Amino acid sequence: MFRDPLFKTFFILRLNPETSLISNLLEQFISNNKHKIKFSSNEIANDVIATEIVWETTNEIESQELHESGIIEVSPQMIKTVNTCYIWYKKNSPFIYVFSKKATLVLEVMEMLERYFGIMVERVNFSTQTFNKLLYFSNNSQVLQVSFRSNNENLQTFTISGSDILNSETFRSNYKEDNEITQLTILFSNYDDFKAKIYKNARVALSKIPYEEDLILLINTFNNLLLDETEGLY
Amino acid sequence: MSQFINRLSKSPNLLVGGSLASLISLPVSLVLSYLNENLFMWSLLTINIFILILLFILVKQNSRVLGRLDQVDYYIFNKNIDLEFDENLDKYVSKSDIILVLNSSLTTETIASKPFVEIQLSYPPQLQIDYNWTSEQILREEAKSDSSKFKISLVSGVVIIALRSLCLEKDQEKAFSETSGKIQIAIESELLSESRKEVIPVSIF
Repeated sequence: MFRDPLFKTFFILRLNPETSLISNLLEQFISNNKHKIKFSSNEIANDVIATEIVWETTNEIESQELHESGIIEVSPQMIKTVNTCYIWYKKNSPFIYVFSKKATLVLEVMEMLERYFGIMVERVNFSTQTFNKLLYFSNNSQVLQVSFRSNNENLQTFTISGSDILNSETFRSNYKEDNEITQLTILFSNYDDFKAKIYKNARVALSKIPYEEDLILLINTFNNLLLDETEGLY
Repeated sequence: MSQFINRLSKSPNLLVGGSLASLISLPVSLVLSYLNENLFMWSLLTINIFILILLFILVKQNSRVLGRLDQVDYYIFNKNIDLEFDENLDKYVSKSDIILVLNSSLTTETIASKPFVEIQLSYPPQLQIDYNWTSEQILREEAKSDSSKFKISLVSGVVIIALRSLCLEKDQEKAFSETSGKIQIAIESELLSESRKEVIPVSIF
């Protein structure tokens, strides 16, 4: 189950401050005329819970047929598709991690969590402060690429890439000018080497299907990093 | 006269011997002509200066004295390609291009022999690449789904080939990850002492 390409991309969401932390396992099968959803959870590591969400959606498309008389007959057809997402979260932490390739599916998951469990979540945006911490947070990582958006009125974007860029003059001069960081690519080497692209909208994309240990480590890292920043809020 | 100098400049032995002789005899003749005021020594100095001037003209005539000046350099910009998933297009796209630049400076003699460079690109067939080039010197000899071959006839100057819009269909991801996942560029020419190989790794996010 684990070596699934689905685990290559995840979005970080935060529980709405008014919502209580998720403490129990999400376990349910929901079937009504609108949705058919299966939630199943298990604890994969100390305090880390993985919930698999499989749901069926129905889309209506119009199918057209041409008759001999020249009349076009239009009939609606139902197409069913099944989507799968994983959400990971730590007990007593306000952050949840949704594994999905598409942001639209994440929105659907957010809606389902609110409707069936009363869990309100919101999107996270990484601040430059978060990115600053990511730049220097570990010996096991190396920054390969940084994208900036300039601070002046033109809002130019530019990318610096190469090896050892943190010590390069180009990086230093651009970092100083208070330009906003919009994207980072970091090479992590814990159990396996993999690259991670971290976007400003809290999307993280990995270059390889990660090992479970690596992924748990990564999620713990983000959790600690983001918790530090929001201290006092919760 | 010009033809004569041209012919002289083509024989490196003469030039090396001449320059060595003039280098040694200049200080010798200078010192000696100061010591004894001999007409022979003075004439030696005159001949010497004449040879120096001749050498100067020869060097100007053909700079090949200083070594082979036929130079072919190539540069590849962007040696790392990241394919990122684009939700709107529903496929993996690269936000950056690969740019191949070939810079050559050749002597007129070499240009007359019509030299060329062959660039062979090979990559996994799932990868889609658009090629852009403007120069008439570039001829695309081969265009397959997993390789391309360019023949570039050289003149002095810069030639550019851009590999743009690199993308991968979403359902091809698994097939692609089973291949080498690399773009290989081989550059071959009689002007390069050996064929060069460059590898550009492609990673999917």
